[in-house]
Amino acid sequence: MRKAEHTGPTKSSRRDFGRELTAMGMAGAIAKATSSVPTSESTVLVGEGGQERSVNQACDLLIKGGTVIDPSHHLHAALDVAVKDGKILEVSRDFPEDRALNVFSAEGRIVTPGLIDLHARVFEGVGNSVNADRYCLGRGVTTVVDTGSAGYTMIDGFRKYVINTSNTRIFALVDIYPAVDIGITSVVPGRKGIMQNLDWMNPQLTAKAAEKNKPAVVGISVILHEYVTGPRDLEVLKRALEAGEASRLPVMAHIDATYSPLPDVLKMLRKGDVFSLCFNNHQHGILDANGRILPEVWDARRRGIIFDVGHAKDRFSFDVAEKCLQQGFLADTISTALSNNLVNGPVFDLPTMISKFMAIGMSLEQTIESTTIKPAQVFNYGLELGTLRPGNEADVGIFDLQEGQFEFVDSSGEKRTGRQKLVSKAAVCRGKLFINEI
Amino acid sequence: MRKTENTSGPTKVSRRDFGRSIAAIGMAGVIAKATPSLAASESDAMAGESGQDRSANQAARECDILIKGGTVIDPSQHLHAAMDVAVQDGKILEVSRGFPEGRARRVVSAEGKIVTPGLVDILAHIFEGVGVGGVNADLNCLAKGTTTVVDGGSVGYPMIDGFRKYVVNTSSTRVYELLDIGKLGLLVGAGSMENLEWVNPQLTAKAAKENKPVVVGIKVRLSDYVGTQDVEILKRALEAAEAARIPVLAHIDSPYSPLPDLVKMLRKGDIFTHFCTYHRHNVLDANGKLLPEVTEARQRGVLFDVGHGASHFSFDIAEKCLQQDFLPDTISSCLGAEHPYKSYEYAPDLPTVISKFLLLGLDLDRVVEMVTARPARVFDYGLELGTLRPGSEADISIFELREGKFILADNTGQKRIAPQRLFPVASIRSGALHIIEIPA
Repeated sequence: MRKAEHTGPTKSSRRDFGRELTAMGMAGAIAKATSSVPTSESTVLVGEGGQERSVNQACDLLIKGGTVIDPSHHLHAALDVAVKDGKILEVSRDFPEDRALNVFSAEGRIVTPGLIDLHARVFEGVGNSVNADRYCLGRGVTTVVDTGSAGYTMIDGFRKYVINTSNTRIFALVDIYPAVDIGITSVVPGRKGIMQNLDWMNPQLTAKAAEKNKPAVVGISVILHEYVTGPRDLEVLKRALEAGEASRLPVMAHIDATYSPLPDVLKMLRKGDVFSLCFNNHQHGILDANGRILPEVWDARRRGIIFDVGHAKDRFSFDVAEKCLQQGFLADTISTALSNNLVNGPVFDLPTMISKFMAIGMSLEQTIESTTIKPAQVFNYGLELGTLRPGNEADVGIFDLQEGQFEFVDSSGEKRTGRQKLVSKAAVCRGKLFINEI
Repeated sequence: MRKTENTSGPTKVSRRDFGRSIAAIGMAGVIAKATPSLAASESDAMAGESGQDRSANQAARECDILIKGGTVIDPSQHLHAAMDVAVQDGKILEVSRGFPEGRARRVVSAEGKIVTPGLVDILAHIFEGVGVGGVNADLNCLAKGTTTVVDGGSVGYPMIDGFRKYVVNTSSTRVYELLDIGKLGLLVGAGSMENLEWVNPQLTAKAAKENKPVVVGIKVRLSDYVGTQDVEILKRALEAAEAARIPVLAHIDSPYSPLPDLVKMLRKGDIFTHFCTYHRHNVLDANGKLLPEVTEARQRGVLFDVGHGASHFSFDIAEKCLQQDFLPDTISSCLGAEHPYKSYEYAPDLPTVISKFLLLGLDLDRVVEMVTARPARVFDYGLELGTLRPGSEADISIFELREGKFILADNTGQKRIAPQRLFPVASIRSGALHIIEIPA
């Protein structure tokens, strides 16, 4: 991955002032500080109309000639995306190249808001995690939510060592279990009950750690597999919900092969909580014996529970996903549940997950929606993500949509053939361009 | 703490400089007189460098940093004298009297100060932000005169890559690791080794071997707090250590099993830390006499380390040990925060622990040996530490030994008044100077 730094067009102190404010996270202040940029509200208008462009308007980076798909404002058209001072300046037709410091050609390519992966492990070197910049940003994912690599005893370190040093935008869920990735993932298969020391699951300390680390921490996570929780999955979930309640954050529950029947688990979840690994084919899944979606699942959706995919090693079934699609039940968000042993298959990365869902009948727009604006709405990131709306953070994905015959494999080794495959070519994160060599 | 980078390059030798060699010969004579062992080893170091005549070369050379006018205490060379220490290219260039200031790029006055090899602390918890007790190494070690620190089991085998990446590779302090035999390391509190599935000697040994020389030993906590199966846990730690050919550092404080059962398992070169603890199953019997198994262990070559920490040190126990002529082999701090959210009661830094042993009657040379030359020999660090011998790494500490009335407390709450206390003034690690700002 090459990183392309752009330099400013002028050395005016006004402009530098604007940059400084951006760096301080003061969105909106730019407009006031830099006369050439209108207020963010009017920028939106200019951007959407694409007509009344100021002659003074220059941009740092122009993504030229691609097909922009931005479900956040129902956009699917040949458009240019102009980036300035780390923000989207405008999305319009025929932005003049000579007004851009750096032009990146997206001719024949798909341009989307930077993808958001709600479920991955990115505490590299600790347990089973991957390097975020390599496997997220390097694959078009500009925002990743680390799903519980850290519990309350590690979250400070996760911020210090990973969030603060990565180019990828990283948020974290604090796991209710303090050593989830160390204590669980490499344990002897079939061994049950390693989360049975309930003393380690402390809702107060977890909530305190989450609260202290907002907005880097956006939620609480909990793993509900029978081999982890033993027969006490509902008690474990109760503690996670308690932590969520105390810190006013949603809970993401990994619900797969639970001890308790799914309805007992689902009825505990609150509006805004996330059911991840929803298309697994293990015991207590979302389908009944006849392949029908359980009424409690429909009910949970109506109550506002979010359904997230999460592939992981053995938690995604084409068969289950297809049966749900046939019944009109789409996942809200598509995520990877990526960890170190999955980057060479069957998960690979988020664009591959998108390709898998296209192979079983979802449209490109639907999958982009499930990896941009939808996950952007699940957590409170403290800023608006998943959209190319002018004035917002300049997080952009640039992809090739390859045509051909592509074979995809799920967790059970089942195969599907797709005619299209999405491959990351470049990503812009916080206004910086990263070119991926694949 | 300010850090001063030294700019170093090859020193140019001119004819003019060469002519000044007479002075150098005189100087070499002084060194030889003061410290015969130093002169001998110095010429060894020189031989490998350029093959030129040593005295002539020395006179020609300049140094990056000159620590001028202090009292050098280096037990590795039986040195206790007013001397200057010259540092060049990250190495000790020479320890001598009257090194000319004009030949130094930077002069650090150590007038009235004590200059020692950089302290080596063989037990601290420094994975900051991870686990129950990690503190920042540079703030709590380098800034307190400790240039080398060994982290005591913050991580087990699944996390050693992260510890290297985030701490070892990014700290100004020299950092090593004792890999915990428990895979959870210090991530959770009580009961972390209750389940023996998490105590795996093979995987621990494999990670230890793969991560040498960063990993210098195996850490095992023998305390009823972490598990009741301490004999089995120690057996597994020894198995891992045997396979990786490194020592075990055993935290032995209120173990579930009686002390003799555990001590007799330790091998020559293994370390028993926290031996001044006041908790049950400690080194003394009901009458305050050392257990025979403890003195036997020392005879066998088991090393006894202090590991003060927030709960492992009692003046009374330490005093009783000293009265029976049972001195520590090494003094370590066992630095760490007690718990990230419960309490911020830090264990004292190493100079404070040293000051407690001065108070208990050990002389300065002896305690300096216990934090330099001795801990340098305990593990194989892949390079020579704990000495100011020319040619070795320029790790140096400068202290002020203040006189006054200092209140020092142990972990039982007992307070004693010390007439002296050691305060760090500056540290040099690999030739990089770190000035420490201490309160007046």
